[in-house]
Amino acid sequence: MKRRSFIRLSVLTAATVTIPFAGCNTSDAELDKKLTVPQTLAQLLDNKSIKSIGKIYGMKYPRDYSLGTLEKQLKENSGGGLLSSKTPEKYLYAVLNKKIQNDFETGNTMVLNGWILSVTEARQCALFSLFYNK
Amino acid sequence: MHIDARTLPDKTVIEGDLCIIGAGAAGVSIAMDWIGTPYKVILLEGGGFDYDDRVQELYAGKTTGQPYYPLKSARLHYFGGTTGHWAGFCSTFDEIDFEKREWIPHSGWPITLKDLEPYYRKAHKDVELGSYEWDWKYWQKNDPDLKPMMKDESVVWNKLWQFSPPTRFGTRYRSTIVNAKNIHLYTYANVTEISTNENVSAINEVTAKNYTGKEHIIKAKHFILACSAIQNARVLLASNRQAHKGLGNDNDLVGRYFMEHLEIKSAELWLTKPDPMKLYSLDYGKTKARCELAITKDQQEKHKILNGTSSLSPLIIARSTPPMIKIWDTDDPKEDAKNMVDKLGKAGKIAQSAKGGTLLKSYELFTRIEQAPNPDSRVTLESEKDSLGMPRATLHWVLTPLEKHSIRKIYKLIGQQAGVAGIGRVKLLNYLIDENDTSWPDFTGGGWHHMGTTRMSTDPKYGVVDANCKVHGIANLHIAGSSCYVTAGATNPTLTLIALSLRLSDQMKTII
Repeated sequence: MKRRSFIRLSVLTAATVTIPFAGCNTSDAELDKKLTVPQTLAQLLDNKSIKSIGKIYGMKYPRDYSLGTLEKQLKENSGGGLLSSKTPEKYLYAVLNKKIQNDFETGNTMVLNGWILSVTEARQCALFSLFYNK
Repeated sequence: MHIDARTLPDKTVIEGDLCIIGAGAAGVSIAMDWIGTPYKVILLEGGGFDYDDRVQELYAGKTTGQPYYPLKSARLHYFGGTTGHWAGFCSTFDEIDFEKREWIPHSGWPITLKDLEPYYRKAHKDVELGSYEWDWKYWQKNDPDLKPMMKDESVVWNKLWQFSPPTRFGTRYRSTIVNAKNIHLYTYANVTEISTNENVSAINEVTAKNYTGKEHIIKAKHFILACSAIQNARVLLASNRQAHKGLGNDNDLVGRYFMEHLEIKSAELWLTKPDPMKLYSLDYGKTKARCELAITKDQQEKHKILNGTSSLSPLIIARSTPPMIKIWDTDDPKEDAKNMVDKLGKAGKIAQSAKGGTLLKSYELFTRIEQAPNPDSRVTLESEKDSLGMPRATLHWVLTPLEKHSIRKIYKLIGQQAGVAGIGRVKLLNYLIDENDTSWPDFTGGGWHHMGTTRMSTDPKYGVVDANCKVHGIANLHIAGSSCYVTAGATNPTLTLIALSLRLSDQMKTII
């Protein structure tokens, strides 16, 4: 249920919400939209909770809290520049899942709002909170 | 043989070879180990065969420091001791529990797990456990549904627990003790003082009283004090006629290092797919063995944390269950126990009405963890006396920041491994989020596990008893039970305290 509502919102708001591009004109909105989906968390939490986690990330790491920076970080070690808005979703999520798995295996984790998260998925939450900023 | 000390003429002198003071799990286990020997064993029990509030009241005392259960209801004071209402949870200590760990002040036993191994096997029988098998894979052979949660056990491993029926020593072993020709059980014989020779190097006799006003003298070649950790310290401290600071207390150690297991709700596990987690589930009265999540020795060393485990309960049940420290709050252990059963029953009904998916998709992670040995956490005597004229005990329970640091780290590791396994995510409860916060929430509780007040060391400067549980400097006084623990381990103490007592019993046979 929660996952469905999350994805529905992702699609709908992408079409209707004005994306805050100001100051982050290097970001790729289509790619960002895909990157905002932390797949495992989306099965567990509603949009409000994910946004809340993302905002806490922003408070902890204000310098990283922009669409451009988060997009860049999420693309790092993910096949680099290969990820784009044209990357097939299946491939993109496989790459992100591998990154998340690797985060947990190497201890690259953080605690946000009590949740023990992979840094990658924490950044996805942050991106989500910025992308759907209304 | 059983004698009710209330019926004896006042000032009766009782003599034997070995006198065991206290007939709880430790005392009864030792007594049974001496059945059929040529020795006359005197077993003294303060209460009778049933609950008697006039006897239970002797355990009342104050608590200060970290909030704790009322002392009067924290133990049971009759034949069989607290096994009269224990839950039967059993597991063994780990190797690391006995080791000197540089990051845990005052850790390190003078014995090892191997020293206890043969006695664990014997203790196993006393508490009527199943096979002496402590690897979950053994149990999986009979039930393939017992599946581990994590991918491997290099960080988080599956520590097995077995469940006693639970054995109520008072009823299960009453006839065994009473019918044994060489065991002389005296009920209503509360030991209020231990008397020594002039230079305090040996015990001459002990004094036992009851509420009829009668007082008896017990003489024996050897004495074993087996009254539970608070009462053992109390008896030693109160026996200060010849030794001003109390017996075995030349170095001001008796009563110090009181330890409990912290038992506290700590985190939640949210799964992406419903899973009954059968390897970790407990159907009380039916489950023979289950696992808790534990942290490997390597990881404990790496992160400098205490040893603790995490048990799983469906979140919907756990959220409906008040913390024990809030339930167990009267002076009446029967009322407290009934209250606890009622609350658990209500939570169970809520669970029955829940849909399967909801029930099996999220779990509470509940910690049981050793506390760091701490000399400031202690039992002392107060000026007020009980009805037999013995000073009451005061417990000052103190925790350290290491406990909280350890709990937080344990769940970070479990959360990390849940991520590696791809099963879901872990959420810390609020009180664990701020790394600089060393305070404890009001639902912090203990397991009614009292330990450490007569700790073991080869050096009298650091321990009340030696590696054989003999009181330093006193030739014929020994102590049985969890008061001898140096550290608390992550497991409930009963199985280990029986094993340690049986080891003492073996030692006694070589010296008597």
